Amino acid sequence: MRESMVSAGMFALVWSLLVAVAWGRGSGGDPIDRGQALRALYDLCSGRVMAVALKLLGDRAEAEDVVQETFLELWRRAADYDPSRASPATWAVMVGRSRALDRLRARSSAARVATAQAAEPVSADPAPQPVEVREEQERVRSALSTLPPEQREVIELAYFEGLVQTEIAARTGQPLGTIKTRVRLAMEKLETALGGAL
Amino acid sequence: MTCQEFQGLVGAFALGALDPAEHAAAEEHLLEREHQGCPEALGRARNTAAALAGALAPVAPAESVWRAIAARTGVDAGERVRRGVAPPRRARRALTWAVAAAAAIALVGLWVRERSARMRSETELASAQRGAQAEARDRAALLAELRTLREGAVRERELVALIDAPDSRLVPLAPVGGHSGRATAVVNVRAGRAVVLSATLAPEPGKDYQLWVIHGTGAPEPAGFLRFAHGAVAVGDIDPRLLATPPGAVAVSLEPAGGRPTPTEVVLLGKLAG
Repeated sequence: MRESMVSAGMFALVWSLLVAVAWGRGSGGDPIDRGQALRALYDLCSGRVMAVALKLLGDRAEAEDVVQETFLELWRRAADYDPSRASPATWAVMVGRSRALDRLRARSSAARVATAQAAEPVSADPAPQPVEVREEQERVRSALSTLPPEQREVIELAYFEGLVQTEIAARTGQPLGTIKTRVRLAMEKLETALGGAL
Repeated sequence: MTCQEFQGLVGAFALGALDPAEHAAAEEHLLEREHQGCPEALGRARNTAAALAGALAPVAPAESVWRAIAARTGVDAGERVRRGVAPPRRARRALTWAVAAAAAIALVGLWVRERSARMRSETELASAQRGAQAEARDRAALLAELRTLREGAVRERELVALIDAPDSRLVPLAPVGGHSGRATAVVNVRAGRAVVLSATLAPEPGKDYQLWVIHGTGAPEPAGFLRFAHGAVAVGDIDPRLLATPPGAVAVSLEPAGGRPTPTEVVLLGKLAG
């Protein structure tokens, strides 16, 4: 039997986050814990939500609006969170990307093309980052690099440019059925590659 | 839409890449009561899609964003846990080290104060030798405390990593048989790790909360115990030997100290299969 020492600090924050988000109250039962949970979630995930929104929208002010909307939505929808479906970090990124996609898809086609052309490619060298960030980027990029080029292309167009499958088919000039197959195969491979590397 | 059809497009669904009509059909399918693995497939696909964000370097929003959120939610806007936005692993590591460092500083500070007080009253001490012996004992006690803190920090890091791994499943354990309390099982079959955490169960004198793993229709297998340490969170490791095949359910029972080979009073239950 292993004795566990769980005290204040990061784990308590993450735990209060889970309790607060999953069951709509703090581990101590008071609203301060919910605030701490929201702050912990923000500190852990806002940088990633911002990165995804900025990549999709290409506009910093609009991306910051998405970050704000995302965390307000997480706060309001705390009771809807199902911890058996996704981790808090996954949930935050999912909600943020969904809000960014809503904004992107409300734009005209011309504006979307302009955004996509202005955006940096995923493989571009970023500004110097801490080693942990570089490791994470390397892990995901390595998983993407295992895909055949045509499968990697559909994932990048779908995830980082926010295109739906019919738009990807039109962009690449490939039949819709081919695009659907590529997306399915690519996601299956990524699930194996990303899961296996963790 | 059948479960097979849904699972054929679940990746595109998680990416938000389905056309509106297909997206609506997929959402409608998810509302059906019976599924053959659709929620699980969706969870995996969502985790995979969310992991793709890791290809991007995190970008810190302006400080005004958090202040606006705090104002709208009524949360204290004060200092964030960590200024600027670090990526998750860095934030966790920094915070974990901060916890360990803060505790170490507090202990060293305590030791320095005690030592200073002792030195001031040294003339009142019976002998310098007795003082040295007391100091040696203090030092050993402090080193033991620090060792415990360091082990705790490592443990915290392990738990955070397990909780946040995309292929970990978080399974709510709900009360049964009129009992109260809740817990969450974090199960990662691939890594052969699973823990149960509860912030609501209270220690029972002379009794232990025993963990159980159930495979299929088999009998519950004893899997370990919940342990109460500092703070209100109880944690228990599930015996990794029981994770060779994915469990169907995890349970917690209240047993006489030391546990029993079969559960006598199940208080919490959570199902993984379905």
